[in-house]
Amino acid sequence: MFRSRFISFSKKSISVKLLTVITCFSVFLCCVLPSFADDYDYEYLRNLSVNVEGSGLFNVKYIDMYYDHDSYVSLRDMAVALSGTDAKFDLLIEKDGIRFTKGGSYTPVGGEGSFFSVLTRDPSSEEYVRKRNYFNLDGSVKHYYTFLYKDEETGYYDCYMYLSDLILILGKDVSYSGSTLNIDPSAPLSIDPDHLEDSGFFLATNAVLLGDATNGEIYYSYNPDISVPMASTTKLMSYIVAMDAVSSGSITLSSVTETSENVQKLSHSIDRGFYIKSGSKVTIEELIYAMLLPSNNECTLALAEAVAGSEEAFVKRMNDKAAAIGLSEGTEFFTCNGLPVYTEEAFRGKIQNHITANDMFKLVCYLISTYPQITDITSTTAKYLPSFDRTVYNTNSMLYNVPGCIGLKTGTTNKAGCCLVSAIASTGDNGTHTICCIELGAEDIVTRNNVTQTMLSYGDSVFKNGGASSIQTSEGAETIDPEDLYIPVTGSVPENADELARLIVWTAKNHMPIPEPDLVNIPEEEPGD
Amino acid sequence: MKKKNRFLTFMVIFLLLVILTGGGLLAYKYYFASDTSYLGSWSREIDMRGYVIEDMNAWFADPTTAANVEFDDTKVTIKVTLALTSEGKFTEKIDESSFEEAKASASALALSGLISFLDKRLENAGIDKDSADKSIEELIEEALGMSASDYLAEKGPALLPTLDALKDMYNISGTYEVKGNAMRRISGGKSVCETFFVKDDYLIFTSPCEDNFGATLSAPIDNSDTVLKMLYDYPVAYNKQ
Repeated sequence: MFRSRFISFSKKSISVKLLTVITCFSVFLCCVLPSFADDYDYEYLRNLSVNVEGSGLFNVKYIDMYYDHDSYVSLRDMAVALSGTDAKFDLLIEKDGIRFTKGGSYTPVGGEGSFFSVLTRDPSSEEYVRKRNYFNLDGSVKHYYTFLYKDEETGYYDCYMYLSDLILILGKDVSYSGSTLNIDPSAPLSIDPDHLEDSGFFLATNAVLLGDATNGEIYYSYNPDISVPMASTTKLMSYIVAMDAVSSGSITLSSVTETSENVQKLSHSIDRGFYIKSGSKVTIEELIYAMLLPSNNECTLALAEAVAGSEEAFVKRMNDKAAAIGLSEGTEFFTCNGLPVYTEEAFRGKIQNHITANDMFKLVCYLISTYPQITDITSTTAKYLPSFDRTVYNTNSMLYNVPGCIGLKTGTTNKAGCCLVSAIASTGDNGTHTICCIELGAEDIVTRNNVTQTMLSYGDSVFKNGGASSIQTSEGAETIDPEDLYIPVTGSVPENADELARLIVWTAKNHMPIPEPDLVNIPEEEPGD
Repeated sequence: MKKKNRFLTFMVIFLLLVILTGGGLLAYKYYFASDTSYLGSWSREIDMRGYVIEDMNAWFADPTTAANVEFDDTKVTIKVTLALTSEGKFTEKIDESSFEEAKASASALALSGLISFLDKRLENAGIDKDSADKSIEELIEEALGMSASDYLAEKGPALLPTLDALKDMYNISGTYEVKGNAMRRISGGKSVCETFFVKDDYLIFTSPCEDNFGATLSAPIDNSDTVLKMLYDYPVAYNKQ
């Protein structure tokens, strides 16, 4: 009986089995077939026609990263195209890094100016991976996001660099006419933010503001009044509140604090920097370095608790300080470190600290004038912290790539995007001023770095040419008077002449005589009105 | 005739005696007798305005504003006395009562600079002091709860060297010797030789001695390690006290 069931060849059993086989095979086909279909990849290999003024046309290979015109150009091809001109440069490209020498004479290694014959890359290839690579640029260490590609025929590496980064390095005038890139080696680079805005340069960013933080002049702004998440750029306000406590004498930089269970718990979470056991002893100064350099969230929490007793009390001080400085309602703090939190509601919302670019500029102006020593910290690339027996590193890549960069703070969350508040010390006829670029909500790090570097380069040239008055179109430009940002600390006696002067100016402004009302033109009331 | 000859003889002898006496006196005065008009007590004043202005400008630390800060013409001086005795001893020292007066003058001078500095800062901030209803001193009083002078005394720079420092610099005593118009003073193993003269109520040191003057005095001229450095520029005048 058992045997007969399985070897039964009745019509019904054959139909069921045949149906089962067909169904399984169909499912198999649906799973396997798509893998044989063409896989279109956006990292295309392309050939660009480059017209070098005075030299002629050259072919330059380039890679479009994710979209058309998201271009990374071959440095070897560009070196040959610009050879013998005022924009020439020499290259040494190896797997571990690139040495770039402006003004040097490049010796071709073969393959320069050739054409990509295959226009899509092998997605599985490890060679076409955009990485942050080490650059030696005229003796200075820099880091750029680039592709390294090894030519199997010549055996040499080529480096594909973001076109904007190369333009900023060369400092020469570049433009597109149709599909041809024009380079004029004799003309210096001229950046026009209005033109950049019109061409969509800032569309991948939520807000941008460039200004002189020493005298409050704003050089350029894009969406300066929209309130956006600020991520770890929050820590600039955290620094101000902590230093207010130091200034008032309630703590000192060498005060030792013990970390709490909350700090330990945060150091175990996904937002951790490094593990901190509760009860660890650490100085206030070390916590500040850990907060500003690697943007450590648990150290920021430890600092907040040491200053105010709890994060809640510290955040209240942050909001009070924002009001005292004169920041708008578009700025609000919920956490000391910029991490998001959930509301305590049945239907929970995820909220983050937020700010406008205008408010961030006011904050930076206040910070630079009140606690200028912050740039000693934010310009440091690495710092050993004895209490944790570890070295922390600065997350701000502008320190490497932008001459004169002195800080200030990066910030990244999913919602906030890539934020960066950066500053350079620019020296001109008016002395040395701090030029600040605020960028909130860039889509990715490359965009963030590209926009900030371009704007800082522009800001440096504006300051050296005389400041905001030298900008031809500066309609609507505001100026924030740094004196307006001074808030006297109750009970404190100014330690020096500059602090005294600020206090006296503030006192005088709050005691200007109120003019008598003009009674001449008040109409007489008619009876019955 | 005999009477007339005797008279002439007496006249000649008399005139001869007068000339010899006069010549002798002149010779004595020139070769043996010395001018002691330098003996006694003298004093000079040291101008300390430069100290005060320099300290205040450094304290302002604002090159843009401080360049235009004006100080009033309050004098700040300290008296130094010099006593030369007939026993060949000298004493030079700070007059302590003048130091106290100098401190008060220095504070007044510094205050004038501070007012001018704050004036400039208010001007830079767009505040017209003439339309403000309070003077700068009143603003300081209101803001700090103390007078501007008290604030400077507490937080301002040290305007003058301390009395002890001044004593270390200026208090010297020792011996001296005079040869003609050269005076050598010796103190603590060091010496200085200076040419001088006395005129009316002034004792004036004009320059360091030339070597030949120094060589004729009892103490030899050695190298610079044994030179007593005087804190003034030549010529320097002392007043008779």
